[in-house]
Amino acid sequence: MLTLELALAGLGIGSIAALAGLGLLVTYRLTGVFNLAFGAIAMAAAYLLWQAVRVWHWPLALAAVVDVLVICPIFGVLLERFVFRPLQRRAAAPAEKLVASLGVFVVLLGGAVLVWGAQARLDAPSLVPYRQLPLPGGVQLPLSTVVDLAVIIVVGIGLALGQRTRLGLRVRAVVEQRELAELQGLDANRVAALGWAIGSMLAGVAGVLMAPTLRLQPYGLTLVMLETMAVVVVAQLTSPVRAIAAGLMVGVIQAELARVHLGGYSGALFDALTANLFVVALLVALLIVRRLNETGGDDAGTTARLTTRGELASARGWWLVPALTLAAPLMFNAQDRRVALAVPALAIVLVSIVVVSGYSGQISLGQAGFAGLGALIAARLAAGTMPGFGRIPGVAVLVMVPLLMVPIGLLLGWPAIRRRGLFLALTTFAFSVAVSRFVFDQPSVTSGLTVHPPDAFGSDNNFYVLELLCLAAAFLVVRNLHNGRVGRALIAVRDDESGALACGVDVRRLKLLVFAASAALAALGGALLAMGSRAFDTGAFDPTRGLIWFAAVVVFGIDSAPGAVIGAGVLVALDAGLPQGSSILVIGLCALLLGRMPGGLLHSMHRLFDHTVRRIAPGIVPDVRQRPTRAVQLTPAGRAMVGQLRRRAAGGQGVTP
Amino acid sequence: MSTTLQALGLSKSYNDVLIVDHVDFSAEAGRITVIVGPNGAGKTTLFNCLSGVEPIDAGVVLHRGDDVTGWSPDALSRRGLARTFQRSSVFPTLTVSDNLRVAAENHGRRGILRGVVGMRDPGRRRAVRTVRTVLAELGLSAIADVRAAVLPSGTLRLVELGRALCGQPDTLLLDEPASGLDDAETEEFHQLLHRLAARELAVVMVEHDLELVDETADVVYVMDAGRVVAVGPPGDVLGRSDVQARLFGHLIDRPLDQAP
Ligand SMILES: Nc1ncnc2c1ncn2[C@@H]1O[C@H](COP(=O)(O)OP(=O)(O)OP(=O)(O)O)[C@@H](O)[C@H]1O
Ligand SMILES: [Mg+2]
Repeated sequence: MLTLELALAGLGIGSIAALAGLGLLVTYRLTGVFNLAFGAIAMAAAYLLWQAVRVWHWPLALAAVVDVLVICPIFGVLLERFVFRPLQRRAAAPAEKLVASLGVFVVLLGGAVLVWGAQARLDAPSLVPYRQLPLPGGVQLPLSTVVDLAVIIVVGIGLALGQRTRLGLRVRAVVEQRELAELQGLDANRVAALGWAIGSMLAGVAGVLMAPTLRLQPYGLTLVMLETMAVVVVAQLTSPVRAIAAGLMVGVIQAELARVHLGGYSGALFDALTANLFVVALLVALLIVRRLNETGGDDAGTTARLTTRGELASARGWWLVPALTLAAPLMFNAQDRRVALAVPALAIVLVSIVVVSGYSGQISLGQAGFAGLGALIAARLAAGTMPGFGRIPGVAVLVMVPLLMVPIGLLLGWPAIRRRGLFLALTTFAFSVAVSRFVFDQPSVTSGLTVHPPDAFGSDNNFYVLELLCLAAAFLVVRNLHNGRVGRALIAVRDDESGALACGVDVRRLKLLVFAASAALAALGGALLAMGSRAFDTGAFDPTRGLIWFAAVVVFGIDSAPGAVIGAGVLVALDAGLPQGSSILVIGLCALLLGRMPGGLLHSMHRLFDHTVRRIAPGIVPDVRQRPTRAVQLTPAGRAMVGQLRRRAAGGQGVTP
Repeated sequence: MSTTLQALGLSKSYNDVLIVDHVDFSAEAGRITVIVGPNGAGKTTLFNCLSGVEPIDAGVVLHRGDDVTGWSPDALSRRGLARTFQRSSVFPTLTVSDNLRVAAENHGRRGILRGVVGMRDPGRRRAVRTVRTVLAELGLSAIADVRAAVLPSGTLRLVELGRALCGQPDTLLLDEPASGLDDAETEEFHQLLHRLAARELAVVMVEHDLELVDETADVVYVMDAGRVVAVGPPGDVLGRSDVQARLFGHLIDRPLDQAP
């Protein structure tokens, strides 16, 4: 039976979710960018309010107005001006814009951890005083619910009216056809700025309203806000009305279900489902919805534009850098070596992202889920508490973990076959959120777990060597996937999927296998990570970790396995040497600069180096951009074509029809 | 003379608009079949239906007598039905020879599994040889090691054609293969088409240049608004006034009954 009181309480949460979703939707429709950073913006706004009220002792109302109505919109406008407008101007691929928003996300998260620390605070200022309004019939209505509902109604009406105005119509024109609208004298940049301002403001409002109902904690709050993405997916990125309806409905159902109590194991599962109904909604919506109405072309899918695209042949001796990175810890003192244990493990996890996102072009934001599952399975196998298995001794665990992960990878690969680009990114992310909420957060699954290195490798030195062996094995798999026949086919899929199909490449199977291989690698890395730190820490496999890792891989070159090793080294070193949060901040800042360094940090350095050396000492390094051509006997058609190529190179123009 | 590819009653609609409307089509080995028709007639969509890229609403597709309706494009490609696209689908990151190599190698179920576990490809030698032959035939050997990203669009057309040939097809579907070629290249291209047809390949292509169609085609299909409105040898079909009206009516903007 439904109770009115619970339903009303649910409406409060529901309207906050709807609000966050609306902000996301508006930004997306007005700018074509799916702003993954919106959860982080909401979190930052909540922290700013806390800072102003609790530390600087501003009056609450003033602080809230300045925070939400001034700082958030200005932040949005700055984002448009300095991050997204340059990308728009050079017609960046949607994947690049997604990564840029990921960069903003990572910067805000890192910044928040750096400034406010990762610990939770319970005293987030509440905009609405706690009061119950008595309704007829003895029902109590919380004042906050009234306010939340009022805000969503006002925003909804505002947006609806805004769409009808002349400006609204012209804005729609920009969204549909940016170039066309620009020809008609409409300033597309202003419209985009408006979209960012509104989107950031709504994120801010949602964050400020949501924080008091939760604890104020950088990762946690951001993740909860991200979960409200469900609302947008249900709306298929289009309908604001559906987004609002979905938000309110999930909120109410959640409140109603909270009343039901079942006992035993299924009861615990039920409670988990209820408490995380937005996650359930996100997952279900992503699996049911056929397509998202994405803006932009259908080549939105792959990460091809983030890769080096074979621009430079890799320099000789290039392998020395990652090799040295890995060898150095063998000479470290005991304390530093303990820290360095994370490097090879993290490298394997990052390489798993290189495989799926760099080589085959499929965006996967869910590797944290695989890594965490790997750690969990390793711990349980070693303890003998894995259902269906006895105690697995020593190193055998490290063989079993990736093997057991293959079916799970295939399972996720299945929905991933048909999804591309943003849709795939969201699906993989939702997977890792679900794993985190329904597996890692369940005390019955993770409490009392101990992890430690296999017995024969108990000393740090030995374990480090074992890790290196695992990394070497991982690289063997990677080599199979990158070189030769499979490597070519993967690049073909990444560059042009329909072309690959036309060549007879069984794209579905290939994608499945890559997902499975990537999941297995991530699991191996996760298991080593947990063994090295001698603890199963769910925080280490938080879904937001997956986003940070993805950003790191993109920064260090999404299709570069050596880059992943160096990236792991840099991340671990920064974390050890600098205050908490700085490494994340650095990665985020680099991700924001990606627009200026296509192909990633290392590739750009390589190119710069190459360029400089050729300037200073021409002839010393061969021009790797143009490999020497073989001398062959040409047919007449070939001669004609080579002639034409030369002419074109001289004239600098092609004969496009 | 044998029919390699045949379609009966093929229909396809988008948003309840029939784009391909009960089309009967067949391609004969050793012949050049050309599809002409105004923009938006549904030629590319017909290709997409034949090659399995788009699921069809009604009809049957037969390849060498077997019913292949609903097959996936990659399976059809491995069966010997190769195609090119109107918008280039060359892989820019790969070199020209690697582009061809992808098509020459076996990337079916067994092939992929063997590759992923690191087993050697038994067909490796043959693939390399095929690629070399095709490169030489198209005059692409000189740029075999150049990345496709830096090539002009006319050359990309040839690369894509070469890629289609590397699968050792019996049927070639070419969507406007001559666009972007200059006169000399077009002439070369014709010779090539005839050589291919002489090898008992069924060549099917979409082409706008009627002069060229007249010279090369054995059979012409005229499409308009999703229907095949005329079929036959170019001499018979292209001169017909109703066909001319359909092909040029859009350009000169005259009602059908007043057409010459
Ligand atoms: N995926 C699709 N969804 C909706 N409509 C489509 C789709 N693909 C094609 N169409 C429509 O089908 C019609 C036929 O398109 P098609 O590309 O087959 O024409 P065409 O004969 O190849 O034209 P052209 O000579 O310009 O290449 C067009 O009106 C086009 O708008
Ligand atoms: Mg066409």
